[in-house]
Amino acid sequence: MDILSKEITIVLVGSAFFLLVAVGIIVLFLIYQKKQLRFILEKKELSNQFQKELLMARLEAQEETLNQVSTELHDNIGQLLSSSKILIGTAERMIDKPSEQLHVAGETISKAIRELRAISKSLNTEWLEKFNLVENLQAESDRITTSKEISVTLKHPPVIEMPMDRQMMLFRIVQEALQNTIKHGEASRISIVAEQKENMLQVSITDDGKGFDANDETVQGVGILNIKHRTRLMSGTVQWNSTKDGTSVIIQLPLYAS
Amino acid sequence: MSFISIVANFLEPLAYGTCCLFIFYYTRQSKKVKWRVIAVYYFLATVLMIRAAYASSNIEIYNLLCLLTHTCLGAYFYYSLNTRLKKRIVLVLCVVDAGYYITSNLLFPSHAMFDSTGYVILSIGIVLMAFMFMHQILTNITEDPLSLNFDFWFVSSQLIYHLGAFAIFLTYQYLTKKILPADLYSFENRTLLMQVWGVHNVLLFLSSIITSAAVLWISFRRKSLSS
Repeated sequence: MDILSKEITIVLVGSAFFLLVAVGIIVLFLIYQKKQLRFILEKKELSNQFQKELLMARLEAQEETLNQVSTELHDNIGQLLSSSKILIGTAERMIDKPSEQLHVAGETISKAIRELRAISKSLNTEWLEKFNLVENLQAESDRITTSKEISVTLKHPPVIEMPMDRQMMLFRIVQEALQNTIKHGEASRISIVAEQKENMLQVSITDDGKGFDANDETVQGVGILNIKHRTRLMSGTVQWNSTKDGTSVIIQLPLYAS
Repeated sequence: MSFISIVANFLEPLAYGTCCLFIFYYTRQSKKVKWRVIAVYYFLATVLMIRAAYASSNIEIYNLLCLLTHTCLGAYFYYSLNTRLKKRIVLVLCVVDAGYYITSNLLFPSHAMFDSTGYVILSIGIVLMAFMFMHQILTNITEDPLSLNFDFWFVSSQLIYHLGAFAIFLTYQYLTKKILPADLYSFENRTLLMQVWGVHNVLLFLSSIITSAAVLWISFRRKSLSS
């Protein structure tokens, strides 16, 4: 082989070497990038998991507080009201001609006891867990209609196939939305519509209140935050559509946890 | 015409032409300046290489292609890279290449032989820019799959071509000088040199195939993901 051929062979071997280096760099780069991506995704997953657990713990604490308030209302204030009612009854019997005011006071206390019991039940998780979502929504609607002079209507499918813990969480979301409407919306009519589509459940709460700026974060209170947190925890979405003629809250959730 | 002759003379316009078609197809709806730049670059490179294939002396055309490649790919990397330092490095590399082109082609023109120095400057520049681009990808990892990133495949194809052909660029002038003496200017030696350039063309074609396959793969994946 002459010198030129040898030199050309060296050049071609050099080219092959550089080509292999280039391919090797690209392959190593792909492997490293994939590894880094996996690491980032794992970190993100862990962070999401932590956030979820934190949220769960917060909601559990909230649930615990609601239970305590429910027990306090029922056992302490309820007892005091019952005693007052008995005393008014005794006083009525002791007086020959009891005044109308005393009678009205007795009636008012009876009404207060009834409402207190209803509130206490709607706050108590153990009590609520005895019923399904539809029954609880119906009880809540009735309670509001009776006590607040707001007409609440409920439309729902015959059966909502959702695990009990999710039903409870959804009930709390609707309860929070209703509370918001009552406290801030100045509504006279509220409609709750639950629709089941394949594996999704959509609950719409619509009122004829004064509405609010749904995009303004400064007007969003703890109630809205709670709704958002609970919905996120259930892998669902929540959307507010508000005009001066009313507000609708649309909650969409998968029936089963993913 | 022999197979080696076809590979040495016509594979370059074919490689640039194929790449040009696929890049025009991929970037037809995009308004990104960097993609428009490379689409125009491949079109001009195809035209130049067709001219070079039929020209009696094509050294000037190759020198022009060298400047065009550095300028257009420099512009592409300038728009792709996101830090000021990297952009400045790209600018410096482009200025160095342009300065070299002006000196060797306009001030002291000599178009007798293939300009190894110009192509070595080009290759080093492109490889550096490709490494800077890859460093950028590594420091900004996103959840989007890299296999659907056109820029990554394009830069990889450039890295394969410019690093693979580096040894050929570096030695081609030296090898040409070597066969110039009358006693060595034989048919066999010229064929050997043509084979070396043929290998360069194969590398260029390989790079073009990688870019074209990436366009097809990304379009196919996007269609199947959207349906």
